[in-house]
Amino acid sequence: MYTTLREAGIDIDALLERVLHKEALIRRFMQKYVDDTNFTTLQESIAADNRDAALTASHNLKGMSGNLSITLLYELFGKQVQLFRDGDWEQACSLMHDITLHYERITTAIRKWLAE
Amino acid sequence: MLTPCSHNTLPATLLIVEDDEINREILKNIFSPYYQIEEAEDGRSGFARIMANPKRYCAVFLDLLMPNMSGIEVLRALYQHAVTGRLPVFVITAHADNATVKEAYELGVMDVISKPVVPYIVLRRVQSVVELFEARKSLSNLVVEQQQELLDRAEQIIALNQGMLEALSTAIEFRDGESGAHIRRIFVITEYLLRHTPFGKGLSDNEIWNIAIASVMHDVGKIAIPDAILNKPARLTPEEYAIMKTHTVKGAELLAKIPQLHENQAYHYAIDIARHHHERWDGNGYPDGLKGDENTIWSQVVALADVYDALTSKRCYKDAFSSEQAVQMIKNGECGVFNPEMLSCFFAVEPEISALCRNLKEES
Repeated sequence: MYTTLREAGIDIDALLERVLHKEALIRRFMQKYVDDTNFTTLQESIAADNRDAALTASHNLKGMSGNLSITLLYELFGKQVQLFRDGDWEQACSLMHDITLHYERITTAIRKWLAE
Repeated sequence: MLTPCSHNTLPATLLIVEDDEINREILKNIFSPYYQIEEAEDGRSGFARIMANPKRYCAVFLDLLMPNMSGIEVLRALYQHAVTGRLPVFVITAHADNATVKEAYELGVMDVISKPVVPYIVLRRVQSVVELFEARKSLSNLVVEQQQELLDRAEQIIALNQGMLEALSTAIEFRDGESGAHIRRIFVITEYLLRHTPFGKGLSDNEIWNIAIASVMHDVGKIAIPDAILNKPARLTPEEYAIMKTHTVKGAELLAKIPQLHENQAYHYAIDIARHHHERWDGNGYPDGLKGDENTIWSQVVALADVYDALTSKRCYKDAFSSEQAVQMIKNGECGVFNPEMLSCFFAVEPEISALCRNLKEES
């Protein structure tokens, strides 16, 4: 029943453990993840060179990805947050290509799973 | 096994201070089987909830990066209000640099738990600390209770001691045809004179109390005096008087033979008063003929109290004099010479003492 999520790279076993096997919670969290606006905020903040807002958005995305065991995005946002914190703006922004690619792929998979 | 942290009250309450809803939900899901859960969505409201009643919570989860007062700011404020020592605070954070973690620990947090959380780990770590705090709290409650119990017992023992001493002294007075009122009046006069006139200067409240207790035992030596002498309604012969006078020395000897009394703070006063409450300022008293300051303040006071009360009370050999007559007789030196300084202190408060003694006479 979690095949779609598993194929998208989500560590569904760790997630199940974290929510004590409550599927309703996974569903609610996944819905929240795809409805969340932090990614748009992150893109806009980078475009506007708003560094504090970019860090906050990336930090929030890292937290959510971690909680939902979306391992790849958790690592990517984690890397980006660290670069923002270290003041390496260029490097942090350069991660956006990969981040966007995977964020869109994974949120698409989540939407598909939610519709199943 | 994991149990809620309070065993005999309402289920204990955990406060989750965290802006991220998913995090709050995850923690709530883990801990709600064991605790009541309350949530705060930012640092300021979390801090306000804690300060409104710190005892309400058995633990607090605190996120670090939050709007309206960060977790570290909350911690600093809690630390300033000395809350972190009493209430276990857990920092839950996705990003913890060394400096922040160090400061958090310095501000008294119990543990720093990283996000995303692993339920069985966070549950166990929190549970252990909460149980530790509960145990500590109930232990210190126990210590307070035990201390109170000891104090209560000590008070009972003191009351019992006093009761026994009064009973002993009263029993002796009974042989003298007196009720227990005489010793109560001696107690009151002695205490009043020391506590309310300059003559008691330099004595602590505790010392005055012990002297008053000791005054109760001034005549215990009379137990060794035969009834025929003690209750003789006529003038004593010189031989009889010589025997009568031995109640002072015998009283002191008797008290010295009660080992339990040696521990009592009143003991040294009691021995001294029993022996010397018939000494006089000019050296014409007995048994030792002490002169002036050779006799202690307390024995001098009890000597005067004894004379005053004897004069104003009816005895087998005399009627009661009025307090005015008694004062006049003491002034005239009809009962021997007393310390003039003590006398002026006594006369200054005699009306009050007379009133107190009258009350005691009416009671009896």
